[in-house]
Amino acid sequence: MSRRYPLANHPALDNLSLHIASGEWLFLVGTSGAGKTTLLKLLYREELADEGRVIIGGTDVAQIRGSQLRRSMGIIFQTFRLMEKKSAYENIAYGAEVLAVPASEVRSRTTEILQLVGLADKGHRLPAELSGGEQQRVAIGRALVNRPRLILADEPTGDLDPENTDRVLEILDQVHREHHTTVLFATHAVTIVNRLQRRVVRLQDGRIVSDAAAGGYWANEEVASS
Amino acid sequence: MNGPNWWSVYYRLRDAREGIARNSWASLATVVLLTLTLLLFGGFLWLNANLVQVAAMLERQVQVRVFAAEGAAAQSLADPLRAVPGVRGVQLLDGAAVYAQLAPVFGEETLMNALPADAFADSLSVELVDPAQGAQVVERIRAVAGVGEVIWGQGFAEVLYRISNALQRGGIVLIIGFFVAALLMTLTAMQLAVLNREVEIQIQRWVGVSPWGIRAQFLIEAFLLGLFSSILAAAVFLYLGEVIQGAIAALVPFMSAQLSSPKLVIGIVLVTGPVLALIGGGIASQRAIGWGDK
Repeated sequence: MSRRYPLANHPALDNLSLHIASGEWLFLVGTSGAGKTTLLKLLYREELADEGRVIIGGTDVAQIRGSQLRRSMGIIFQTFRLMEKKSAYENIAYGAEVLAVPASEVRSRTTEILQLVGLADKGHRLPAELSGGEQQRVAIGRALVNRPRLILADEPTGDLDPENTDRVLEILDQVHREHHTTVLFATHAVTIVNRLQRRVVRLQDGRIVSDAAAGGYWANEEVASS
Repeated sequence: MNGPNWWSVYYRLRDAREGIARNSWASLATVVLLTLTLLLFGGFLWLNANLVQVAAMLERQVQVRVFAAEGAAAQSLADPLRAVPGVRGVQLLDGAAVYAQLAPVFGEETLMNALPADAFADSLSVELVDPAQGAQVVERIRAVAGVGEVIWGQGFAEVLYRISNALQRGGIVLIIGFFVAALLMTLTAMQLAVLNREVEIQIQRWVGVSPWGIRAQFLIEAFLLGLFSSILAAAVFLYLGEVIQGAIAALVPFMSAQLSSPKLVIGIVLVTGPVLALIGGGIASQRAIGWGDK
């Protein structure tokens, strides 16, 4: 698939072809402007490819409604985008409530998620009363509350210290292993990629320049050259 | 949907209530301004409705009264007058009947004190095809043999007729103006509400809520503000309407019967508030959310 923005010197994605297996964990790495975010946007149908197709679970995403597509996804960003006047519990529950999930089910799911993200004792706190790492865990909880089959994470640890980065990784890894959830994790962080030893796809100028299968890692030399 | 629709309604109503409470000052300002606009709108509707009544009265005033010359009978003039170009119809008015008609208007005792029972001679009431052409027709009537005195509103009637028409046309223009003002005001308030909930809108998009699902919260919120404003305006209008009707009845008793009831206008105001607010909420949310389900 290809994607070109008006006035840009080169395509954001240039004839890119990528297959991700169900239940796979894939790191998407590359410098700023390499095409990571654009690829994720095409996956959650924020944008459509100029050429080519995006197929998820056998369905061409251009052929279905964006809202329908995103109900099976959990989307996480570097910015937490929490509602300031709602507690951590309410922020997570909101993700299910807006999809008309019955209140008892929302309660059970939210309680479970708060435990998963390690905030069971801080559910009543407002975002301003939480640390940056805790706020990101709330955002992750919100993305997980509808039990997504695919998690799209765009630099989710970009603003976090190493300790909170580890915590976020542990949460996503646990969900990935226990529920066989597919994870696409876009990042700059070499330590994360090397630590988990998963498939790594490196993008540069909208093209795939390397695709290391499961167990592969993003070597420091590659970082230096990218 | 993951659940029955009433859960969606429940959550949307809760969010709308929270939204109104969260932006309490903006919500209050919207309700106050919308209420004032609806009051003005309703007031003008009522005035306009009454102008229609007054215009009808004025049109009746443009009828020409013809008295027979001395020695001639009023009844004998009916056919010659019907033949005059510009005359729509002729009706014989019995003097005693005219006196009897005035009794309930001024009160029998007052009338008897002012005029004797035979004060009115028999006459003919001539209805014109076009009141604006009254002067020419009256000249023709005066030329009919046996016609004595001819009374009509002359230029005054024509002027009043034109003024009533102009007022009705102006009323429609003003009502449209009030509509536009109220719509713009609601639109601004809802635009603020949408801006305040930018994060919520984004979250809903991420978890897969359809554009109509996202828009619903703002439409419900707008509807509630509009409904509250219109109920408030209707209550004030009902009260003021009674006060004004009472005052007119006390000052000009015979006019009170001509006034139209404010009930229809109150009904229109009750519907207009929510409709205006829904349009404003729809436009404001459309700008932020769009129609397409990307």
